[in-house]
Amino acid sequence: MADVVAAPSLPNLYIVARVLERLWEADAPMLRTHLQMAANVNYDVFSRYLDWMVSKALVTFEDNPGHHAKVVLTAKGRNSYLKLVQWINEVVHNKAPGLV
Amino acid sequence: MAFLEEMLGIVAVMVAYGVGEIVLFYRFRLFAVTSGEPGAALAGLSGQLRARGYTVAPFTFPPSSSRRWLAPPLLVRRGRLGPYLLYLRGRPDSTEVVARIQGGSPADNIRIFLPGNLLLTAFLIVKLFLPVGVASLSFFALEGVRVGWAIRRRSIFAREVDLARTSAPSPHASDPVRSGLLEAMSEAYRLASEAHRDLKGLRFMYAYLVVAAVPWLFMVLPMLGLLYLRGGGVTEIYEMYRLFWSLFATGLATVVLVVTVLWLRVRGTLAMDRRWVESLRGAVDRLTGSAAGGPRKETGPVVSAPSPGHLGVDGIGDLVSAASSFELLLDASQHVPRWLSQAKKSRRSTIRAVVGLMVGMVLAHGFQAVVILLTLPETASLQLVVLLSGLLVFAFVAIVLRMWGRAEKDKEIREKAEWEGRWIDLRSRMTLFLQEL
Repeated sequence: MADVVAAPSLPNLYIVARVLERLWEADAPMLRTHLQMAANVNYDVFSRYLDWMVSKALVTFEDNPGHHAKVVLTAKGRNSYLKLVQWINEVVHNKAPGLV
Repeated sequence: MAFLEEMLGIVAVMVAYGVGEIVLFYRFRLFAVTSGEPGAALAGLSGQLRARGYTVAPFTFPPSSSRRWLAPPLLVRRGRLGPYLLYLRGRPDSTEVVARIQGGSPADNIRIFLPGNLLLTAFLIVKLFLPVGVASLSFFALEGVRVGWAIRRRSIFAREVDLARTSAPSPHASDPVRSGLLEAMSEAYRLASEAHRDLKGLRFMYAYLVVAAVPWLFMVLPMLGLLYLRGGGVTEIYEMYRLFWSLFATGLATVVLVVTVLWLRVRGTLAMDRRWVESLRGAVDRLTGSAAGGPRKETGPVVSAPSPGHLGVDGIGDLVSAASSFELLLDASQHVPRWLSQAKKSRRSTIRAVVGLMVGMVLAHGFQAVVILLTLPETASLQLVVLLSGLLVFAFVAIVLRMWGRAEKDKEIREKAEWEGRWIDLRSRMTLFLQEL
């Protein structure tokens, strides 16, 4: 399914952040269907984003023999989300992003 | 702090009001005739005239005069001024005090009508008790309602204390993502709730203005009536009353209308900010709740679904709103400059209202002084001094307020531009970051 859907040319920050935040919150591997429901986008869109995130090593699939594969947040994914949160935290605190 | 400032402002207004009232009231001692009995009223008036340096002597009309006097007339003079003939004349519906320049034309007479000797007493009540009494009581009553309301919502204050505690190191302080989210969310919540509270404070200020306008109108309109009366336009006391009440009703209706329009203007913003405060509060609760292992709740309805063209994404037309903490923060941060400027605007409006109220009171007293001094022909120079002083105070305060307002506005525009620059920088950094991943 994911193979027939083109990757997003320019990813939507909100959707990426939603997926990263959900995985960070769960702090455990998640079934892609659960993640898709949490991200609240249709399956095609979700698949495109998931593939894109896997290609960027933000998330990875955990081997789950005999069951559906689960999605795991990688260290890069966690750091990326942390960076986004830090930037927005600085802006809310009236500082230029990335200066601290 | 804002509450204390507001209270101090109100106390300052009331003190200035009371001092101004007492000081100016003593200027008008000529009108301080309170007795309902004509002889005592005239005697009181003559005593006050003597105290002001006038020579007061009894005056006996020729026995042939058919006029009926309520009390023996008095002849009043001071230096080259006068003599004035001061007498009380009975009328079917009122009593007339006449100060007539000896040998002058009837147009030079000064007439004050007393409805059964009560009008001057009524003036005193209006002047002394209504402005100070009604204003003070109303301010205190409103402040009482406000404090009562605040106490009733003490659970909200308790929640704010809890929120402050969330800033303290928690068992999950080692998680920088949670710390960052919580820190940003708490700050956004603080800004939103402060802006919301300040805007509500402004609504209270409008209520104060209405309350202050009532005694103010009561104070000024009798003077208008007196001015009109002196011009000879009103010969019957009930006409003056009718004029007074028409002016009072019109003035009050105008004030209520203006305040209603102002209130309607802020109502929408108040409702929107309340939703933001609730959403951010919910997000903080969720972050702290999940820190304690609690269930995850969806964020409130404030955040709208991102538009497909938000970052140039394609094919997300059926995206449904499911706001994450990050999304909520990103959307909330767009409102931060508005919240900051709203808080400043509310404070500026409060200061303007307090200063305006004080200037209005000073002008009202000045107006009263002019009107009453107009009844004393020998005080032409003083009339000018009072009038010019009033205009000077008004002009000075208006210039200072305008300069201050402009400086604040410039600062606000500068800060907003800086903020927008930071926001654009943030979005481009995020976009670039995603592209370069």
